[in-house]
Order: sequence, then structure tokens, then C-alpha cells
Amino acid sequence: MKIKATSSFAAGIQCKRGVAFLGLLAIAMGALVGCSGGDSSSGTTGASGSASNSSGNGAAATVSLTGAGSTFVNPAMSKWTYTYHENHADVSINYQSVGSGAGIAQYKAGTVDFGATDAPLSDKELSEMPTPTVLVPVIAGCTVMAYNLPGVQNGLKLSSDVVAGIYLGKIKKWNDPLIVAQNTGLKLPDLDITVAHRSDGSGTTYIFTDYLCSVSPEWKSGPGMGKSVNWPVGVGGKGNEGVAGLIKQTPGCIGYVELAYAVQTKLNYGPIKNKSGEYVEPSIESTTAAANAGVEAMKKDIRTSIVNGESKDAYPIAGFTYLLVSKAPKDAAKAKALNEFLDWVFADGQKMAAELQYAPLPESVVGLNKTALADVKASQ
Amino acid sequence: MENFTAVAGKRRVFARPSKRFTLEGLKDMAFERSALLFALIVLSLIVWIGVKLYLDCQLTRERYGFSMLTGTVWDVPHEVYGALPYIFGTVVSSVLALVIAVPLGVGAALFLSEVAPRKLATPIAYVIELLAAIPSVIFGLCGFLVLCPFLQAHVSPWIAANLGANPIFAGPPFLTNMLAAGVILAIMVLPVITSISREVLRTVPTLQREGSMALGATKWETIWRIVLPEAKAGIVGAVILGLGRALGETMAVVMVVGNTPKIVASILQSGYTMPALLANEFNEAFNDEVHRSALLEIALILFVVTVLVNAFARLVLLLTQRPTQPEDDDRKGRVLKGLRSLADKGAPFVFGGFTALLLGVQFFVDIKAYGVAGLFRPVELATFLAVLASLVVSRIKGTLLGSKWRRFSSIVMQSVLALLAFGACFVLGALLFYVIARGAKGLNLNLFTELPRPAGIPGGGIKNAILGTFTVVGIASVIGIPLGLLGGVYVAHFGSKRLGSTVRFSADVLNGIPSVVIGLFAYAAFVLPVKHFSAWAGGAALAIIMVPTILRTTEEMLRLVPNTYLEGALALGATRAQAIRSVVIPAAKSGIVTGLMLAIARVSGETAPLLFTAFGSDQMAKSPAEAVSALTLKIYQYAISPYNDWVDQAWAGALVLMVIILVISSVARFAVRNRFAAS
Repeated sequence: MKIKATSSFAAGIQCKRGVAFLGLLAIAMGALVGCSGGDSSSGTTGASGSASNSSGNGAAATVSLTGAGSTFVNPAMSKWTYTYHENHADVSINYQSVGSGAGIAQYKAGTVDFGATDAPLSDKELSEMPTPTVLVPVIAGCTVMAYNLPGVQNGLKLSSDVVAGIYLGKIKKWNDPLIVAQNTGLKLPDLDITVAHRSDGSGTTYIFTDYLCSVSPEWKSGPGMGKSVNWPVGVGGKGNEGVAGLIKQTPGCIGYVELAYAVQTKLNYGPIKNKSGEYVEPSIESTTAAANAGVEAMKKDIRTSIVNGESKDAYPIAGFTYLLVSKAPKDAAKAKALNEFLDWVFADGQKMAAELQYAPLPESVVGLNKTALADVKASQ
Repeated sequence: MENFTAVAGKRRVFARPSKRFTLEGLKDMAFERSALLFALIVLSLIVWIGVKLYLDCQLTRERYGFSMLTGTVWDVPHEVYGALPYIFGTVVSSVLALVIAVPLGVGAALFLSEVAPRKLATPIAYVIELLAAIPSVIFGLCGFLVLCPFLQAHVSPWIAANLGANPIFAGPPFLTNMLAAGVILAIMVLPVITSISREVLRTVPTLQREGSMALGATKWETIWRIVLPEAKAGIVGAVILGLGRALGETMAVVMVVGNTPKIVASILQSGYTMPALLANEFNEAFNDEVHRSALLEIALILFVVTVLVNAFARLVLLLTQRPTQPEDDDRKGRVLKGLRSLADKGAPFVFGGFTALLLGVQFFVDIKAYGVAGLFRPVELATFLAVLASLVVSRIKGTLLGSKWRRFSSIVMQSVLALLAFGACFVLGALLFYVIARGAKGLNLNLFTELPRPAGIPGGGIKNAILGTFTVVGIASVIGIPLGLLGGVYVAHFGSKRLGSTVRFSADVLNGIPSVVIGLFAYAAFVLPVKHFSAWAGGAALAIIMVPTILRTTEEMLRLVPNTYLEGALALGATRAQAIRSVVIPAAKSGIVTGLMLAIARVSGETAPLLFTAFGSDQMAKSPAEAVSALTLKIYQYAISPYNDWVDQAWAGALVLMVIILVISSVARFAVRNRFAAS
């Protein structure tokens, strides 16, 4: 190595070094701002950094809730948390749309205050939760078969055979006779079908595979039903967001997403043939019909599936999103805040979600929820 | 540098502080001991990560054993865990990346070191190194939103139409596929291969070039027959280092690879890689012990493979770069010889084999489809022409025409090298263009002053994410900088030769561990025990990534300080610790600051470790004990979303992040030059 250390060069370094330190200083300042940026409230949690579960005992203290899970419910949930915070400045709710699988897992690990899932937990899963847990349906929604098909707008009709055939990899082209036969008026292109599914553990997948199992024995004995399955064909996207993004980007793509995503991002979708042989458009009404048909059974078990319902108005791929709420919460302030938020969701939140094409909970389900949550309140 | 090491060996003669119980003595001791402690922490980190992963995947190790490595089905509900599709995808995408990046990277390095005048070489080298500073998630963003649609619209249909009968290009092309992953990875490993190959080429003595030219060889012949063979072993090291990076790359791949665990020959189909699997599934695996254990085993495999690959590459580079010492002449000679023959046999094997395979299959399918007419399809004709040309060239060797040909081909080949180097610059230019052009569209004041709006509602900003990045990086700096600095001081000045080189080596290896694996580790170590996601955990994960870079640059900068500085201070009666604190470190300060800033720039762009630690949020965090968002997390979330407004904000966020990173690293590179470094 050559070594240079002339004094003039060193002097030059002096001022350049100053620049560097200014840069570093700027970063440090930024970091400080970042650390203290939102720290306008109590200083109880800030400096210590310990896992303070007992925060919020003070009267004016603010409560931060963290929730995670279902992307199915995210358009509604993010609107709820945003609006709720606008009206209740002392409560901020951080909901991360990471998929039902991750929501359940993180709830179980205790890293979030509530989970959200469209796949109801089995008795075994419930019994493995660290604290007794209650499942609270918050909204009903439907999964649409959205597609990106050049030259075809809304209204492509699909039967359950075709949907299962596409996802089993048996129907490969958009102009397959089975699809053409149901859509006589449409001009279907000679285009390969790109199947999109979820790459993460998903309640939407659960609802969709629940539906496929109920209509296709081959699917039932093959990939089966679950939050994530061994897909015979297709590409994976993360979350309803990722699948909708893939459909949007890929001509010839079909995927299953919650109705709100399709409406918000102007994806095309069409009616699906239900159990009574009717082609039913996904909508608030058809989802409500599916939900109402399930109400009696839900009184016995809140987890009852509402896919492929008997009602002739019912859309066949519908389901509820459930919140996972602890029956024995450690933090009273957080539990209180969550309960108040849920009460608000059951009232104002339902109307708000309807603007996003979610179906409000049937009255009797709200009643079931209130009973279940009263139980939570009592155990504090 | 080297004579300093030699003197340092004797340092114990006068190294002991004599005034042990005075305040100064205590300060000295505290300084030395904490340097030792921090160096040991760096050393233990790598062991800790490995052991933790090993212990945590006991369940699947015992239940599935080796069948996990060979199983082809990954079926979570049925508890079937076969990792082969992921291993396959990781290997294929990495090899594809090398097939593209090696000619480009080595060619660019040859151009920079052999052909280009210095005035041109320096800026080009700088531009290529800037590519290394660009965060993975921005590559993913451009990959998913620009490269994939481009390939899908212009390249894949052509390949499918003309070569589709070949199983490697078969099937209807998907938007997200192996080819896209390979191209993106190639761009990402390019700077590694180029900059290290260039360093290796610099160590080839000028005399050899001059000798060759004096004997009448053309420039190209000198490069091809003299310089390249001499540097071969080191270039293999650089390529393997690039491989290590490609194997562990997460975010860019997860966005473009398609996430389909299938083993198919066609690179136009979707695949899946191990890091992508971890990024997608780890957050949901805590519900299910078997699933979690399976993922941790994947992480363990990735950890072991990248540690081995990086350790091997580092050893090779160490051997090629350090001057020969008498005692290891033999061993070194043997290893280098082995490596050269590996390069001699390996490169033709990989590239020749790859080409032969492609051509062979293409010939086969064409002849099968068209009969004899298949021999006159474009690929076949091109092959025949190439063979004919090489025959002609070999015929005219030694004739007058031949010498003209030699001069001509030398010029042509040098131009090809120049094209390769400019190609690399073009990639960066295109990337910057897209980020600036599309980022500017989404850029407005709200971005910095507002919180995210609910999904699907236009407007809002990412104020919390920008502040979150500063928070997390700030925390990482507070933890990582002292660790790296004192560790570096220890390695440079205190440690015994063996411990010092062990720590240095493990820092290099730690540097090569995929950040997603560090994220998993940070989740298990910092999130689970306290039961919540936090900026603290995110900062801690980034600190682990930061430490090796800081340690290594600090050490190098300290070694560049002439030994006379230390000796002078010692002669004036300073203790060793005093001399280092008040003379050596200040002399190396600007170089050390450069290292710090580069490390800060690097971690500002990290995404994968934050997925499991900082987690993300749409609110302002009230304290670092809460989950926070970060620019990179928001870019990822928004880039793959279907909302136009979010996509615009992803581009704008990428622009903001890129400006932050480029400013930091440009300042580090230009404003703060080390006064002792060779200019």
C-alpha cells in the first residue's frame, strides 16, 4: 500500500471530515426525532423499553392495541381503526394485514392483542391457546373469482365444476368448451389461464377450499381444505392484496379475492352457480342470504361454515371474519378499549363496512357476540 | 500494512500498562477489556445463531430426518414437509443469476482494470458499487412492476414461440417466474463480482502485462492468456461470494419468483426459493410447532450453506490476496493450483455444459418437429455459423491475414468488455430512471406529513414509515456502532493473531448470512421473550447486520495508519491503550466514519429482518417498545398491492429511501476519503 500523509492533504481532510460528521449528526437527529416523534403522551413506556403490560393505568393515558391477521377483512378493518382513532384519540389500533394464518400464530405467541381470521379455529387449536379465547365474528364477506381477461368485462359466469377444474389444472384455456358453454354471449380468447392463489396462510383460502371441497370430491381427496394447501397449479401472491395485484398485472389470470378488493381496484368478476343451480352475483344481498341461512346453526356453534348454502339467493363462497379475543386478558385497560371498539364495530362499523360491499352481521349473531364478550368483561 | 502486522507481533514487550491501579490504568484496562468483550460478542453471535436454529428445529430433524431434503411436497395441513422444491428453486435462480452476472461482472472488471483509462474507470466503478447500495426491496419493486411486465410482453412470448418446444423454456410463460428472479439476482450480485474481481486483477503484477506485450501479444491476448489465468483463483472467490449473496437474497426474489413450490425445468414458470418461503410463512408458523420447526430447519440449511459458501470464498480471497509466506508456500500453492484447475475445468463445464445442453435439446426438439428442415431453424443456423467462423479463424492463424485478425479481434474484444461495463451502468441508469420518474409522480407533501389511509382510500402519506426507518436505524446504530468499532479496534490492535483473525473471519462470514435468517433469529431472541413486536427488536436485528461491516472497515482503517504513529506515542510514554485512543483512532477517524455511514446506508434498506421484528404499523408509534413501520416495509406492502395509489406511494417511498441511502453513501465515499488509503 502507498502511504500519503502530506499536510495539505490532511488539511483538506479536516474540512471534509466536518461534512461527514454533519451527515452523521443529521442521521442521529433524525433517529432522535423518530424515537420521540410520537412520544407526546405519557412517558411511562418510552425510556425503559421494557415490556410494560401495565401501562395505561393513568386516567388520561392512551391505549395502543396491536392486531394482526386476515387480509379478507382489511379494507373494512383499516377503515374501522382509522375512523375509530379519529373519533377516539386516546385509542390507537395498529392492525397489520398479514393473513389469517399469521394472525392466529401471532395471537398464540402473545405478540398481538387480538388476531383476526376467516378460518375458525378447531377445538384443538382453541385449547392450545395460552389463554381461553373467544371467537367473535365481526363481518361477513364473499370471495369473488376475479379475472383479467382482455375483451371480457364483468359477468363471466362460472359453475362450481369449472372453478374446481381450473384450480385442479384440468381447464387450461379460457376458451375451454366448459366455459364457453356457460357464456354463450361472450367471445372468449384462446388464452392460457394463469391461476393465482395465496402464498401465505389465509382465511380466504380456507373459505375457498372449503367451497371447493364441498363441490368437488376430487379436490376433497386431493389438496383438501385449509389455510394453505398444496396447490396443483398456479402462482402465489401474498395476501388478498398480492393476489389482486397479480390479477391486475397478468392478462389471463384468475384468482379469488374478497369482494371489496375487486370493487376497489375495478377487477372484473361474475356470478357463480350456487347449490340450487342459480347464477348469483357476489353482493351484500347474496352474502347476507348466505349468512342468514347459517344463523340457526351458528347459535349452536359460532364456527359453522356458510359456503355452498342451500338458499337459492345465497352466494356460494362466503364467510365470516372472526376476531380472536382473550377471555382472561392481562391488561385491563387494553381489554376495555378492545371491548369498546368491538361494540362500535357491531353498530357504526357495520354500516361503514357495507359501503365496502361487506355484509353486516345478522342481528342474532351480534347478540351471540355480546353474550360471549360479556363473559370476557366478567372475568377481568 | 504488512510490516505493521509484523511489528504488532512483538508488541507485548511494551504493551502492558504499568500504572494498573491509577485512574488512567483502570481506563486503559476498561478500554482493552471492553474491546475484547465486544470482539467476543461478534464471534459468539454467529455461534449463537447457528446453535439456536439447530436446537429450535429438533422436532422436524427427528421426525423427518433427511427425507425433508428430498421430499417434493410441502403440504402444511397434512404435515408433509419436503424442502426440495425450495432448494431446487434457490439453486436454479442462483445459477441463472451467475450465468448472467459472471460474464457481465468479470468483463466489466477486466474493462475497468485493463482497458479503461483511470478517468473513466473510477466513475464507472463507483456507479457499479452504487448498485450494491440499492436495497433489495427496490430491486423487487422494479422487478415486479417493470421487469416482469416487460419480460411478459416482449421477451417471454418470443422465447415461448421460438424455443417453447425446449423443456427449459416450455409452457405458457407466467408473469412472475424463475427467469425474472435470475435476472434480478444477476443485477444484485454484479457489483460483488465486479468490485472483488477488480481488486484481484489489481494484484496481478504489471511486469507480467508488460512482458507479454513486449513479446508481441495484443492487448486482448495479454488479458486473456496472462492476466486472467493469474487472477483466476481470486475471481472464482469473487464468483462464489456472489453465489452466497444470491442464495440468501429474499425480498427481490419473493416479489418476482411467483412463490410456487414446484420442480419444473422451465425457467418461464414460477418457482420458489428458501428465503422467499421464510419471508412468506414464518409469521404464521407460531401456531403450529411442526411448521415452525420445518421453517427453522430451512433457515438452518440456508445458514449452513451460506456460511460454508462465504467461508470458502473468503479463504480463497485471503489466500490469493496475501503475499506468500515461506511456511505456507506449499499449502497455499496447492490450494491455489486446485482452484485454478477448478476454474479451468469448472467454467467451461458450467458455461459450455449449459450451452451444450440448451443447444442439444433445441436440436433434438427441432429435428423431432421439423425433420431435416429442423436443421435450418434460427438456432441451428446460428450454431453452424459460429462453428464455421471458429474454423476459419483457426485456419488463418500465423498467416498475414491472421495477424490482422489478431489486432482486429483485440479491438473487438476490448469493445465487448467496454459494452459489458457500460451495460452494468445502463442497468443502474434504468433503475434510477424508473425510481425517479415514477417516484416523482407520487411525491407530494402529504407523503411526509400524513399517516397511511385505510386500504383502497386514495391519499394519505407514510410519515410514520419514514420516522420508523430513522427510529429503527437509530437504535441499530446505538447498539451496532460501539460493538463494531471496539471489536475492530480489538482485532487490529489487541488480539492475539489467532483470535484476531478468527474474529475477522467470523465477521466476514456473518456479513454473508442472509438477512432473513437474522430476522428469524431476532424474532426468536428479541420478540418472543417480551411478547411484542417493537422498534427495539427491529433495531437489534439491524445491529447484527451492521456490526460485521463496521468491524471490518474499522480494522482496515486502523491498519492503514502508519505504525510510526503508534510507536511515536509509545516512545513518548503513552500506554498502548492511550496511544490507540488518542493517536491511532483519531488518525483513522475519517475512514472509520466512512465505514459507519456505509453500514448505516446498508441497514436503512433492509426489509426481511423487519418483517418479523418491527412488524409494521399504520399509526405513529408512541415509544420504541411498540411495533413500527419502516420505509422498506411500506414499499413492500404497497408495491404488491392492487391499489394504484399505494403503488404510486411505493415508488415515492422508494425515491425517498434511495435519496437517503445514496446521499449517505456518496458522502461516505467522496467527502471522507481516508488520508492513508492508496489513491
